Amino acid sequence: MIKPVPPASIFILGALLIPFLRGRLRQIYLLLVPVVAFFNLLCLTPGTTWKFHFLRYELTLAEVNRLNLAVGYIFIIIGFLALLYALHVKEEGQHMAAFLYMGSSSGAVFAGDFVSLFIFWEMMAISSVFLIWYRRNKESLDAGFRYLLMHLFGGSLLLTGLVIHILTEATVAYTPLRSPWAYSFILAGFGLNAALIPLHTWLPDAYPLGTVTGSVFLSIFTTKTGVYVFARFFPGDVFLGYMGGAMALYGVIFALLQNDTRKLLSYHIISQLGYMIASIGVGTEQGINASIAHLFNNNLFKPLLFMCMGSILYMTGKSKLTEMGGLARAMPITCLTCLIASVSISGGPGFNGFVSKGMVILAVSEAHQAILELMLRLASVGTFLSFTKLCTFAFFGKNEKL
Amino acid sequence: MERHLKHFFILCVVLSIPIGFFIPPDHMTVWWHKIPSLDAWMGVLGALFLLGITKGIAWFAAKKEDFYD
Repeated sequence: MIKPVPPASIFILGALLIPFLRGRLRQIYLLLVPVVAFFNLLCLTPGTTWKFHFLRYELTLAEVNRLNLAVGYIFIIIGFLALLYALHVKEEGQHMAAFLYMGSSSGAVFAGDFVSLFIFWEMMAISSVFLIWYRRNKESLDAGFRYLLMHLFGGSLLLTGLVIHILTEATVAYTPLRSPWAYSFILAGFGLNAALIPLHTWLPDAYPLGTVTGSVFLSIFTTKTGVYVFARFFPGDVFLGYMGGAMALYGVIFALLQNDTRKLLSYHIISQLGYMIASIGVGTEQGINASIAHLFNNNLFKPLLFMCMGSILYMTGKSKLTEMGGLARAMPITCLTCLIASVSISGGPGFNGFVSKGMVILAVSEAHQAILELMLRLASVGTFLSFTKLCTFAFFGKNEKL
Repeated sequence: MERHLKHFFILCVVLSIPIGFFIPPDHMTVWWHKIPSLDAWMGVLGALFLLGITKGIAWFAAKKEDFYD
């Protein structure tokens, strides 16, 4: 009988082997590790824990429950697909950063106490910045530093909140955040990762400047880990509910204004996070389920959109919508997949976004949050508009030069 | 092909409003859920509203300001 291990350890230890492998062997290895991690996840049952003692505290490196299991599944499934997309990348450093990023995100999701969560949280920030820096130009280097600075600031807020919480409660275990100071600092620390307004500026700044494959990884983990911790620690927070509505609207309005494809998608991450956070703010069981369902679905169509725009960038070297056009003929598969993802994110009937967005709006509506419901419905219209713009300009517009 | 797609798109938008009158609304929790074809109206009016806002922001952002004047 094979004993399961903490999900994070497979990727973190797996990253260490990458520099020793070359060519086809490395490609097989890159795909094999997430497969092993997936089977490991299948062996986990809710209630499983890994504990050890450090100083006078009992740390829970990983603790399995149904909420983090659902997030863990989608992280590994889409992580596998992102690795498949990144298989052509020759730089082992990029693969190592991606593995460490996947591992630390899984670690944060499965962490069973605040200290473990904080360690994985910071590892996530440090490993992900390399996916921006590997673009190897000045803009990316600067954006990477700004990204790191913002995340270290968020980490400091989180650490302050955790120290207050640990001092008042005398435990590192996940216990209710009773101290208002701890509550506020931890909310702000998590909020930076979940791109709450006005702590969101790092996202549309850094994500468009990542490598072609790095932006795909970036769109999967950091913000969704933020959503998971909100669902875990802050369900029913009224502030989060309205913040989610504001994010949903803000994201689509600024997405509509963008000319850079990946910047448009980055603003849409904020908008879709708004749906998830609004649903968490509602706080009902239906709301939490809707939020995690939308997280699951969003992690399918958003990386696909980044993959499509990355393919266009890779093939044409262009990322501005006004420089594109007529790509439906030159890149028909990319066009088809982009249309599928666009209809999904817009909540088109028959697609996954329709189900989870419907769940979110229904949860908000049944909680009698009328204003919030209107905000989310309006944001949904904006999503459709901006993806109509994206697909029209990129694939169906006229451009003789391409 | 592109023209046909555009016509089909416009047809869908136009038809969505009258179709809504024949589909009874469900999950009514607030009064406006009773409005026939609410989603289609919301789509058309919401799109105009959002486009107005984005045009306004774009105009404001593109405005030349001389802060030293």
